[in-house]
Amino acid sequence: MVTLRSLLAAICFWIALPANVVAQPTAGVGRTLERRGLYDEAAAVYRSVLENDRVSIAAWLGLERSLAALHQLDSIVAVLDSAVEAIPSDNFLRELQLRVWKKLDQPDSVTAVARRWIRHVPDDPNPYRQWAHVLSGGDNTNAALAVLEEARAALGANVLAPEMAALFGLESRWREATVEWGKAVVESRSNMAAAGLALQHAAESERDEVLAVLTADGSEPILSRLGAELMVVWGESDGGWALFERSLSSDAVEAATELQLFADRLRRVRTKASARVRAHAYERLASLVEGQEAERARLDAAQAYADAGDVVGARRILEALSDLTDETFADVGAGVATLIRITAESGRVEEAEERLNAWESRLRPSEVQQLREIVSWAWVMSGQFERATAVLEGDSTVSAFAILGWAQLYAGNLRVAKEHFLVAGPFAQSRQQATRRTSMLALLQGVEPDTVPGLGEALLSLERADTVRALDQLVEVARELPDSGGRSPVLTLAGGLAREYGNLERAVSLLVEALHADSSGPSAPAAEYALGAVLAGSDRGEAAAERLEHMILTHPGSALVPEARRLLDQVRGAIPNND
Amino acid sequence: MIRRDFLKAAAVVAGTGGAAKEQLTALPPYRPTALSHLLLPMDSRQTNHLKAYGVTYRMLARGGQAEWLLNYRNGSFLLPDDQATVRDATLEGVSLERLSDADVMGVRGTIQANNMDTILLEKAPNVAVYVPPNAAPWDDAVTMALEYSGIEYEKVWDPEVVAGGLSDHEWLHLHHEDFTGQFSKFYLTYSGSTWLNEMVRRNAEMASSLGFDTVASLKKGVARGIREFVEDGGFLFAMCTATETLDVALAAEGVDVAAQYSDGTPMDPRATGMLNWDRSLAFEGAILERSASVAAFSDIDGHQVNNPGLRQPLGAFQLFDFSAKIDPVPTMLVQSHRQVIHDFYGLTTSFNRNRLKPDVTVLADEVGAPWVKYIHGNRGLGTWTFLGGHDPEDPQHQIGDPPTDLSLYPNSPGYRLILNNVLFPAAEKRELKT
Repeated sequence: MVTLRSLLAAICFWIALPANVVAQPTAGVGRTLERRGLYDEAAAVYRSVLENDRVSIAAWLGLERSLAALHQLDSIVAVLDSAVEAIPSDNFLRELQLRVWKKLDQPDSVTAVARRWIRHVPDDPNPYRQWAHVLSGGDNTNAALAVLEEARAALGANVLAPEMAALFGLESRWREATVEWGKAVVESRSNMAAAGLALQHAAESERDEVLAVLTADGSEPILSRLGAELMVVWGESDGGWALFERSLSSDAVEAATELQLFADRLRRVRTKASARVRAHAYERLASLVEGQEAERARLDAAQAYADAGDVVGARRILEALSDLTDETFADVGAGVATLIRITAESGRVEEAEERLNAWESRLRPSEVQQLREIVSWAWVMSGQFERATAVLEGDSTVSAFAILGWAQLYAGNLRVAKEHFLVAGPFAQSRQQATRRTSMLALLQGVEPDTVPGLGEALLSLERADTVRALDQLVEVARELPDSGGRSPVLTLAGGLAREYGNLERAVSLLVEALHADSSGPSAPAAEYALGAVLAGSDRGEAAAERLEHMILTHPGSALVPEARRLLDQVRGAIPNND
Repeated sequence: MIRRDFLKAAAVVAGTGGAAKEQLTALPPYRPTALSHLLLPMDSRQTNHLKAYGVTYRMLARGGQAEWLLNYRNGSFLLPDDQATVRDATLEGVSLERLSDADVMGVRGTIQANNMDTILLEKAPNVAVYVPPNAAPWDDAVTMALEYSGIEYEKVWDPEVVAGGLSDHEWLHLHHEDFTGQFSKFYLTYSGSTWLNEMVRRNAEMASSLGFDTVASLKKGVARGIREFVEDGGFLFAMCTATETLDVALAAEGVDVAAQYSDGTPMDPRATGMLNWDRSLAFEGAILERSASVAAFSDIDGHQVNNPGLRQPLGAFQLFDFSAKIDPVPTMLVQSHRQVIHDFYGLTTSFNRNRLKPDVTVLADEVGAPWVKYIHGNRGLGTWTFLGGHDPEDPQHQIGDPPTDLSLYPNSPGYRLILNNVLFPAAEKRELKT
């Protein structure tokens, strides 16, 4: 019940509002009151709005919310019934009636208002749709299905197929869901995306059945294309592409549309296999269209090949685009960026830099920045540190400092590398890259000399995944470093590499050497923990436990202590080895 | 001195006076006067509650004494300051605080003025766990807690119990053994599984080698041995199915309560009416589940996890607050840094109130529910404690689930209840109200 106090409060609120608002209360005023938790007052405002505008959807919804919050939803019934009587053709009011009775948990009244609506528009499937929707929202799927069956008996065998399909999906009745989605897709191609999204959740054991329905003899080609999409989603990309190709229309215009839609829908599947299928589709599309549309399709194909990790495929497409003209360029900026990236990453850094210089003025600044970093990194990886630095000359972003830090490190200029890493800070590039820089800083802080070219070379070998060479180089350079000035951390790194490489004896020997070099420095806990881990991994539990206990007791403040305790528990058999 | 010895001595004191009194007063007096102390706090400041029990246990095992400060910072331990304990705590990641004599005086003052008490822990209890010889520790919450906290235990099984070997131990734990001899009714779901076939084979061979006709009769014999252990002064702690089936097996002496698949004859249809609950420890008046196809044993369990029509959802249980100075035993058993703990299923999850004997002490229940979770009682010279459920940190445990890694739950309040029971027998023996 609206009290005098609440009405006064609402009136006072209006008075506090600007003049144009005071003149006529609106649903927006009600919403503001709702946000303040003044539901009585909000309901009064919504009622007032509805007196002037019986079909204000915002006011009806607001009144429904406010009364529900006050546990007075039943008081909306009379005013709603009277509105429906006055405007019987308003679908929103009818839907609201259904929903209110459902919320009031009055199934008989839900049925009664649904029947009245159906009598009013006997040829319209909408009342059945809304009735079923209300019932399924209350987890009464069987009752909702019965309503849809009734609609079909009255209006025809194919009506409300998407609704029927969705309900079957909720019940995990995937065969029936597929049949219904099939009807919906044949009825309208716009249902294709919804069908794909729904059917992709079919249980693994049901998938063959789903595909059998879609590809049955005599079924429409569009259903085969739906099946092909599902196959790609479920990881059968080759089969999916083959099925799609077989179902492609012989008409070039139709086929181009089908290819474009197919490839676009597959963008949601972020797997390499799916990217490869998209690449095939775009490449095929490029062969069916002409001009800028063909260029666009080729660039999309190149991008998709790149996403699939197929550098050769991407290059093959991009080579044909090397004569891009200014006219086509505006549409293909992203493709050009892809071309430069792929060229750089495949080791043709000189060529990538030339392309970047040539197209720089026509690319977006953010793209240029990103491409410069890519080209610079490619120079770093090829050992051309000066060229890497030159590409980023004048760039003062933290990302640039991060890359230049690596360039200086691999050149052996440890002090400068540290300075660059510190400037780059913790937020440059990805979190993973930031963590790598922090780990490297920790290593470098234990190395005394400012310049150690051998260490730079070793770390570059490591970056290039040449572990065997890196290991030998690290050992060689470590032995030239002072005992407490870097030998220990570099040997610890080498020991860890040997362990990863599976050479446990060498790992033990290197880690023991690291501890002998400096048993109390900052790298000692890491060396001793790594030694404990190597011993534990080679079934020398007792020796491992001794090492780990010594490490915990000697360096109780080390960040590695929790890991050491866990490993010690595993070695002792106090916890299962679930790692 | 174990509980039964102490109580015998106390009985002698009560009956004969003089000499026996001298014997009792000759026990080492309680002298809380070390120069400095280590406090293992058990409130939220503790980094590893479970291992704190292990540190305390090992100090006792080295011949030292400790004090359990009931309700003081959620049941902290006060240990003499020695290098071995500091080393142990550092290795295990257990928080400790060094207290001066003046600090300790302050602590004692707080304890004196509040619902708190000090219990002297004087001896590392000799712990046994009833478990088949080759079982891995990972499917039993108690052995997991013992392994993780580093408390030594011995495994005993049917031959040791039947031969009276339990008298060598002070503390016995049972977990998911089915003392009705029906193999936990696993046949219903896991028929043909290698592990089940192995379990059946091993039990059948054991029954035969010990001179029993069936596994069911062997398990009844084992149940009797366990009851005698308690009556002679032992401490029994049971979880999961062992709680319910132990009592059913004890009450079913001479009555066939096992399904045909396990002993070749169907359950006696009059079995429920023939049970003698005077023989059981905790429960009475239960109605047995007669169907072999329902994985439940009786209506003792409130949750009926494998009984689809009766299964109850998990809630939370609340530990009772006892008077530490008047009721130290239940106070010890409920020491925790959380009063309300999420419930966890087991083949037996909880105990219906209407099936408890009148003298049972309820330690924890679910507010408003017809069941309780954690109970305790005496039998003869000993005590028993039952905790429903399988694994406090794996509430929906299923066979085949990966083992619980307790290093991920070092502050588990549920596991603390188990470890309270392990240290309980270490407490100084004195006349207790409960």
